[in-house]
Amino acid sequence: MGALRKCPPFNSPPQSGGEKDCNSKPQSGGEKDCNSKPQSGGEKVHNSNRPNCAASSSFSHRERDCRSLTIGLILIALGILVLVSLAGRIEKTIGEDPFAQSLLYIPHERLLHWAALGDDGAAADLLWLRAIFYIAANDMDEAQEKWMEENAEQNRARLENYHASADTVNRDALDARQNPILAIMFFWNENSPYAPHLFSVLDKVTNLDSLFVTPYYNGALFLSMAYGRYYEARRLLDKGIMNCPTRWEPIYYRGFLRLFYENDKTGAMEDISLAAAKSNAPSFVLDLAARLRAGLTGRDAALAFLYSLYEAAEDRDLKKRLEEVIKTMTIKQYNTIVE
Amino acid sequence: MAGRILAVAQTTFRETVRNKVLLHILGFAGVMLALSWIISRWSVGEPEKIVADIGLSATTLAGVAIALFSGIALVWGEVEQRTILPILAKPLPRREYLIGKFLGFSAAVQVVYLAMCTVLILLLAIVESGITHQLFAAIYLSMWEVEIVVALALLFSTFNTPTVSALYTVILFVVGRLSSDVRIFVDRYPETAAKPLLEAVYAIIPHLSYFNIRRAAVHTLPLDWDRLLYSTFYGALYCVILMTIAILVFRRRDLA
Amino acid sequence: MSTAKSNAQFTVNDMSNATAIHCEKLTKHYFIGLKRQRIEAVNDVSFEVKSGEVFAFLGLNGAGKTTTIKMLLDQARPTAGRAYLFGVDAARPEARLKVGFQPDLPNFYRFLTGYELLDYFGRLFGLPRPERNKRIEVLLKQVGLDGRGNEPLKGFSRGMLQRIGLAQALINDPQMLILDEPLGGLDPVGRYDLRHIIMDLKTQGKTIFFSSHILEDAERIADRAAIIHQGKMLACGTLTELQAVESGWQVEIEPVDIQETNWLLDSRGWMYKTETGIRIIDIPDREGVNEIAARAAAGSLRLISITPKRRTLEDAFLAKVEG
Repeated sequence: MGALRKCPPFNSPPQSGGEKDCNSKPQSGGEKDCNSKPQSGGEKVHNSNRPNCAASSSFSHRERDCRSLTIGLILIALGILVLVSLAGRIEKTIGEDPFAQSLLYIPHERLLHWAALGDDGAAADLLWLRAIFYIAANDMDEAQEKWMEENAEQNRARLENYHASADTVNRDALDARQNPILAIMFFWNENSPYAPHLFSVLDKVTNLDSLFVTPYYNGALFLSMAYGRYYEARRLLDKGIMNCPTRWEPIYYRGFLRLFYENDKTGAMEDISLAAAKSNAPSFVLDLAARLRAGLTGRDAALAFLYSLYEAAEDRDLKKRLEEVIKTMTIKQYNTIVE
Repeated sequence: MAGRILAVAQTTFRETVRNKVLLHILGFAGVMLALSWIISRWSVGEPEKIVADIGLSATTLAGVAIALFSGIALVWGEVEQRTILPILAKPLPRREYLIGKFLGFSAAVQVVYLAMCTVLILLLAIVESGITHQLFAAIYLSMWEVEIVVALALLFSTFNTPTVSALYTVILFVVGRLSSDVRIFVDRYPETAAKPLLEAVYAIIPHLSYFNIRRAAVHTLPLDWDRLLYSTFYGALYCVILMTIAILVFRRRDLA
Repeated sequence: MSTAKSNAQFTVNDMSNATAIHCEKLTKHYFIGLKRQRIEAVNDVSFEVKSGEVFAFLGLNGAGKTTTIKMLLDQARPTAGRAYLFGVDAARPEARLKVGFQPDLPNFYRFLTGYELLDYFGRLFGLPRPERNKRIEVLLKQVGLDGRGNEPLKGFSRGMLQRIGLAQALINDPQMLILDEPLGGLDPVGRYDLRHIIMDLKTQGKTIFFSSHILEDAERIADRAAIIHQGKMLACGTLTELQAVESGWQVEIEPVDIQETNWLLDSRGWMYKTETGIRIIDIPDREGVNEIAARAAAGSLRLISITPKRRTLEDAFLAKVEG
């Protein structure tokens, strides 16, 4: 055994060379060495009569460890706070991300196909979501009202022409004075300055996954009713009808838009009938087709259409708008009957 | 022979499933599946399609990632750490060692991949998406895609460091996934002296696009059973060729 | 004087069981870097190890010991030459059926327990399960790891890994053990235990071939040894042959004709010391001894004793290595 070392006073730093005593007989297996943990009980120093070298040094080690840990955690927390506030300041200087506001920077679908490593379906889904975020961020109500004010004269003149033409299905319904929401929906369809690239994005989505039917009809609804881009909506639906010949939705919505935007009752009836003939067409489509074939006209036909559109709509905002329109038209119809 | 190969395979299986990298990738895949469900809530229309699309992509990519990150050091690591020395000092031909390694490793990867797919199927059931035979067919073919990446990673690990193995495996995976585009490029290439070379390159890259029928699964399109059969043969044969190359390379390797 | 056979005329049949290892002109060259610089790790090494003997393969670090062992076990392909284990070409896996190997600084799958590791290696030999279980119990006890078979190897110290390394080398009850630096990683107790295990195995008729640079251990247990330096075989033979060679003689004489004796010693330049009238002379060569004998016959001195000087193995080794 080595000579006994004099124990350092309590709280002094441990002696260099540590607590090892490697002169002991080798253990069988040789796996125990003198660097193993000190025995339990060695930390109890305060009540011991003899100073315990290992205990005093391990206690001060623990104290030091706790102190370092606490200081470290405080520094990290402070650092994170500073980082977050810095980030906020930097973002203020950068301003709004133009990419978030514009759909201009979406690359060609072939590049997206390569970036997605051939998983075109997933790429289409993510691009569709991108379009939805854009639509959600560009709520058009205020812009629509502004447009109405700016184009009040033009709209009145258009309405007069509309009312003057015979056999309009929705003549009463489209009275802008009574139904401004409806007027916006069905008239705001020329030279719209809003969402100029939305159609391009929806076109890319449907190029990536031509069987993804939602962008065709929901995209068309947003294009037409939210941004007044009827002709782009129509192109999208025509593409959807071609690519998804077994689905009822694209042809149904084309019928709807033909009726309300082009005043093409015959075309609308054809499309609704074709939609009703699809194997998975829901009952309200079949119902509408039957009623139109039975000769339903005027406000009744318009209401029937709006009811079916309400059933089909998947977007909550759109459902809300349609609900208001239907209520207004129903009250007007009741008043007319009462009169 | 079978007993030795089985012994190596079982030990490799154990080694792979105990690898911590696996846990991290599984965690990532779990996050992606959860995200697919969350993202689908934002969609207007067809949320189940988004879960299916992103879920199938994420599980396949996770399977490929597991094959890649665990496989690139499979043999190289054993040589570097010298754990291979006592093994090959046994009367175990090197080809049996490699075959056992491949079988054990691919079994582990496929088990993990199928576990992820099981979670995906449960998720699809929750969002009330149809669980169709097309979905199972897509999962089956994706398994072959993952299997080819397993064989690639193992081949490169017999003679390359993990970094270089990862590079080559990733390149071949990316090119393989886009092999249909490579085909178009080669077809449209002018008839010059380089064209036969391009044809040869196209022939040897793994045509991973053959194993992608996720679109059919998502849109429940009719399955082409011939395609399933031929793709299976292609995948199996490609793996056999890769393993043969690995055996030939490793046969002459000095374990210095 | 080396007893290494330079022109081996052995055929495979001759080597069947009497010769555990037969190497013929084993050579290993590595080509490194873009310029393919040639490194001659082993050059023309030939030796034999007989069945049942303990053979020490000695050399400095980097001498080529491990490379030679790797060629014996087909872990490195020889650039030239051949090796046979019990008459079977070392390149064939069958050559290793009767062989157990422990590498230098052994490393094993850390995720396995000791039991699982031994079971795995037992399966590679095709041992059936009951036999494997029995052997594992015995081996764990033999190497001093009794009761620790279910601990994961990642918790094992270097010494314990060395022990489990020996156990896995014995799993197939081999006829020959090849050990690469078996004693290097062990503490004194471990080395003592291992030396005794080796001697026990020798009494069972097993052949032990081990490489080492710890000469005193080799001296204690080896029957024969070979010295390799910078890839070349310098000497091979029994320890006695290696130690006795060219060491000289110690001759004790009592001068009768003191003048003549002094003249003889001075003219030859031999070192000597005088103790109570006896001259103790270090004579390096046989001619000197013959001359002393002749003068003793002529009566100018009286010859008391002639003793060949035996060097330690370390001396022999250093003499060979330093040329």
